[in-house]
Amino acid sequence: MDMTSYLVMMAVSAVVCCCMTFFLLKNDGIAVKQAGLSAVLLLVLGSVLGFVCAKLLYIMLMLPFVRDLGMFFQGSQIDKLSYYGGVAGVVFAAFLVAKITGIPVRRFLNRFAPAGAFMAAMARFAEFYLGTLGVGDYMEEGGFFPLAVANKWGEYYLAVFIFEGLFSLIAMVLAFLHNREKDCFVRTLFYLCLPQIFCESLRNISISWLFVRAEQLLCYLFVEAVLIAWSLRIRGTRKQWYLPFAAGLVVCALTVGEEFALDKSDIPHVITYTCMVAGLVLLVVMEHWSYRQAMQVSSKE
Amino acid sequence: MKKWLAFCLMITILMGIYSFAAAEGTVRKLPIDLSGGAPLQKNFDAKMTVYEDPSIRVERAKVSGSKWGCVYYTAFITIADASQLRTLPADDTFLSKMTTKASVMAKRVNAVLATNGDYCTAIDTKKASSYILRQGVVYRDSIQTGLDLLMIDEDGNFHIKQADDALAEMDKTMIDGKRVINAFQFGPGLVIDGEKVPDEYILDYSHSPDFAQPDHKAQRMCIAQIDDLHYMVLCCAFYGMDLVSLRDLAMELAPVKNVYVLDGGESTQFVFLGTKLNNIKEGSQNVRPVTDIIYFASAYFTD
Repeated sequence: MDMTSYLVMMAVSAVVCCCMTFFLLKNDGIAVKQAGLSAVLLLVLGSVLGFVCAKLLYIMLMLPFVRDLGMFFQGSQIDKLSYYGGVAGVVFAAFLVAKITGIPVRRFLNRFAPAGAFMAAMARFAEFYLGTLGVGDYMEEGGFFPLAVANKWGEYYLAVFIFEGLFSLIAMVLAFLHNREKDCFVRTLFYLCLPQIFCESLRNISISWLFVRAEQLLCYLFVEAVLIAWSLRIRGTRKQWYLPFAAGLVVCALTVGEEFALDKSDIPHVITYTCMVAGLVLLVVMEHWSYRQAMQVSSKE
Repeated sequence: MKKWLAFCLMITILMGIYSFAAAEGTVRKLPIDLSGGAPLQKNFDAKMTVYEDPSIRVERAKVSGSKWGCVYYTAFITIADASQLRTLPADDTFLSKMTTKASVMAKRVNAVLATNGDYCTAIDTKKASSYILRQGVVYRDSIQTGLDLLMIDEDGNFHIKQADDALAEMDKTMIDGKRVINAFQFGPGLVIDGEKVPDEYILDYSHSPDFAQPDHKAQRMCIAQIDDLHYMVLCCAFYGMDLVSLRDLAMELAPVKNVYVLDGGESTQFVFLGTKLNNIKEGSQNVRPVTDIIYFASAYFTD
């Protein structure tokens, strides 16, 4: 574990993220002074709230199982943080910055979306320095970087953090392409959370309550909330309005079954993960369809 | 010329004697740390049932078609020194939640026989606060007073303390004047100091980790001490047995002094010379990665 390199990479990424936010705000017609102040505030508040919320969510998720609160603050702290707590903290910071600087919250968050996805990607890539924290299963046939990383015994483990980073970069590209949409920020978060459901399952170390992976569950909650929101928007105009959120529930139930199968059955993991990915692709289709339908409805109105 | 030939012959004989002596090797106490055992003298062969060198003897068996209604696996182990009974985490520390297959860990440390441990960093309401002392180091100084505690001292002797509030107060690093090298919290203990633990105690859910279901049939793993530096590892295959049957089977197999239950179910892994032997099925098989192993290593070095 190389904490110094990790912290340097996180710090540099945070600065780049704030610079991106500055230029995106400036390009959107926000005054340079206001955009600059936003970027600086975002750097400070994002760093503080990101860490605090990552710690808080970790404590909340583990509280039912730990009697001694001191255990949360003993030993290495880096594995006692929740990634999505950190994401929530940065989002909250962005919300506060918009309020402080007087930029409309939706407008600020939509401009911030690509920069946020970039930061999410870098935070994952930085896990390279955290030893085994971001790896997946042992690879019997060996491997090579960046598909796998080797430990000190020469054993290869799937480099899940690389996949997560790449998925976040895809979300960043989508956020850039759809930067003018009024729900750009929510959709970017949706596409950050969705692949995490799959990647969390691949991760060797995750916050889990026996067989339930807590952050996978949180991602599902957010994804389902978005699908419900889009479904409700098209309720009055489309007969199949319920399909997106119904698909969300079905795929979620299937994921529970798939997680069980991964642990308890001899069904090859490739088959189980293929089913999981197929379910998630269905949710992508549902989200895209329902959002386009909702856009059509709102444009007619 | 004759003198020269005699000299060459003598040198050859001396070199032969020296190389023979070097190949003899020595038995050395292993350090109490996370390093492994001496390199194995033989590779795995499916037909091999005994591994033996001057420091260790492991005899394994698979028994099917017995009155117990399930296939079970046994290993009887005799070691020369207590340091050969060791533990290893999947990562650099026993506090890590990192997991990997027991066979992968066994290969790292040249384990002759390895089994899964107590899944020390599992998160359920009991295991989350269990005591972790491994290879002489206290990794987590909390205690789960609802679970039995197995302590293995520096002489390799087992001491099982039953679930009790007094566990919180007692010194868990020393027992009977001896240093504790490894301690586990899974259990329960099935036999303690030669006495069988009553059925009611074993079947009481409060004395097992969550989901261990002591009265259900399941794959089980236990470790037993028969005598000084003489041990038995016993595990049963799917569909398995309840813990009372496991105790009775262990007592039938050997005059055990102490028997302690380790993690079971899909975690059950009985690894001989780096190869998992229990529950081998045709075709593909998923093996649950675990956080830690207990293993017996050779201390016979030929270098």
